[in-house]
Amino acid sequence: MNDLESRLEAEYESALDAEAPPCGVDVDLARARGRTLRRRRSRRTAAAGSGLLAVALSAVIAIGLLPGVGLGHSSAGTASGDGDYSGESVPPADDPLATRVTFGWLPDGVNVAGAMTQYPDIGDVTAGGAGMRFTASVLPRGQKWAGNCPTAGPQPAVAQCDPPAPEVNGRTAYWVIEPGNPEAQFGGVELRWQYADDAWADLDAAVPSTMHPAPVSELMHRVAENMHVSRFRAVPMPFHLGKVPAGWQFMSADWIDGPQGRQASADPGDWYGASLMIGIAGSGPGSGAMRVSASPAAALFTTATELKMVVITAPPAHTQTLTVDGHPAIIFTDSDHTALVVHGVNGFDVVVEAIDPVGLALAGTASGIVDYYHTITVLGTDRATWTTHVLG
Amino acid sequence: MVAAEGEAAYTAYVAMRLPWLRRVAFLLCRDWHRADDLVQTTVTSLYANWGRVGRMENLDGYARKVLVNSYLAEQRSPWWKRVAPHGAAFEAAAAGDSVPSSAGQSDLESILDLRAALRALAPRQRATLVLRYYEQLSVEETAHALGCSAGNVKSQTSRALATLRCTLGETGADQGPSTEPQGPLVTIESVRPGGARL
Repeated sequence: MNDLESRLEAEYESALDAEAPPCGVDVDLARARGRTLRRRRSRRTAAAGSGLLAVALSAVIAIGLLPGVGLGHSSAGTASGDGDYSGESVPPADDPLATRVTFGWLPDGVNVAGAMTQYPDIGDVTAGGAGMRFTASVLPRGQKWAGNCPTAGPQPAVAQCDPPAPEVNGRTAYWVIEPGNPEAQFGGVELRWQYADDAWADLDAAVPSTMHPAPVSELMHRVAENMHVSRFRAVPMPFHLGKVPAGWQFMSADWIDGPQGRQASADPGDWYGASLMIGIAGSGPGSGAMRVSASPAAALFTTATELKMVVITAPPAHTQTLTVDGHPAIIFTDSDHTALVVHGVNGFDVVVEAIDPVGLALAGTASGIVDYYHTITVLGTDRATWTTHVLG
Repeated sequence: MVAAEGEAAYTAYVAMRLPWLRRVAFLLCRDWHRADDLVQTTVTSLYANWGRVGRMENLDGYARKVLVNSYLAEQRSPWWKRVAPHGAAFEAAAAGDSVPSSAGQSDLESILDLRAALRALAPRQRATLVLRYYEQLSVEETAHALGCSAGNVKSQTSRALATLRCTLGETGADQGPSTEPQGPLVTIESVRPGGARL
């Protein structure tokens, strides 16, 4: 071992000499989120097993409160799976946030507040408020969730490992998490049911943990019975990407409707707005090379000149201030990430990020990422102006 | 759901290994707040997969791999997830720059130089060095943790050490990778404190 290697070892030990701050790890939260991961994985497993992912370019999700889509509270309010949910329905190629489900009824104070789609996974739509959250998703006909069966050995049929629930619109239903289940943290409850022949839906919720199981079951069933599944309907987004490189495709998209959506999110973060990631086809779920995000201006900056946050990513990010089309802007760069933030564009703070060698090759330089930004049309914060023609 | 005995085993394992996971996470990112986030992700993943990984012989190896992957994946995460309020940044900087009280002036400068040089390394190289020189893993074990080949670990280690030497001026070259901002910059110090998060 040479001197530098010896110094490294000593450095690592000395770096840990100082007393660490109190541990901020929340094991209960890890359990709660771990259960969510397990559920999502079981959905992916089910979807992958079906061999039908070729048509799953986008989500099979619920949505509402969006221009051109409806308000989430469907006027029909009848049984879910009532006809036009055909498996032949495919999402529009130019709008990744296409949806198939609408909430027909939600409790007072609960509104649709977010949606997520990730290729090639299914997506979610979330409603929240009044201390509750409801996240809905459906699978195409022929696909099933794996359920809470043992991971080893022959897999029993869906629902054989889960407690039965009262029927939903006269069809089979089961609990993934039963109301009142002592293992369910934060009032978690989850219901799955057959919304049509050989077609399944899921409603994952968090309700006040003080609610008794019976009214929780009643509430879940009322929301479930009034969900509508239809053909894909495009959900508008607040920007249009004029340049999608050849061979690239949509990878993921999110929409979180302000603080309410943030609170309603199953995985609450600090951000809200609309976000879209594109990347090389076939590079796998969760990957992508360019990300475009728009969040209401002042979410990132309180004023044009006052930056409220700092980058703490090491190594120290290079930070360059500039003006783009008259708007104050900042470029952050590090070894594998370049981000441009442009403030106050039609009411939005816009973030364009180049990630990984592919993204950096396209727009890794300051001029490159500004050039890419100029291919994006940012619409106003008025949802009536948003577009379903998002890509290309 | 994780069965009752699984819950107990998970709780026991996390309670026992949390300090170790925090230490490794801190050495990767040099920020206790981020380290806790990385460990949070790790123990979440452990729970989600406990039915399978709880029976593993080398559970520490799995946990380490998840932690390192979380750290590397964080480098690809959205920009807004990589920012923090001013106060946290300074706390982090303070924690990251702690040095032994017994260190003399020259030792202090040497330690701080080395830490600055480590921060300038690419994330994968930093992870490689932590696994090799703190965790004392072999090349093969490091390759397993990073999900790459042994040859790749050797080359990453070699390049990282060469970069450190260059940055520290040990080869006579003083033109190592610059950690100074370039162009018209906003530095951490110029950012006003007290900002709210997004």
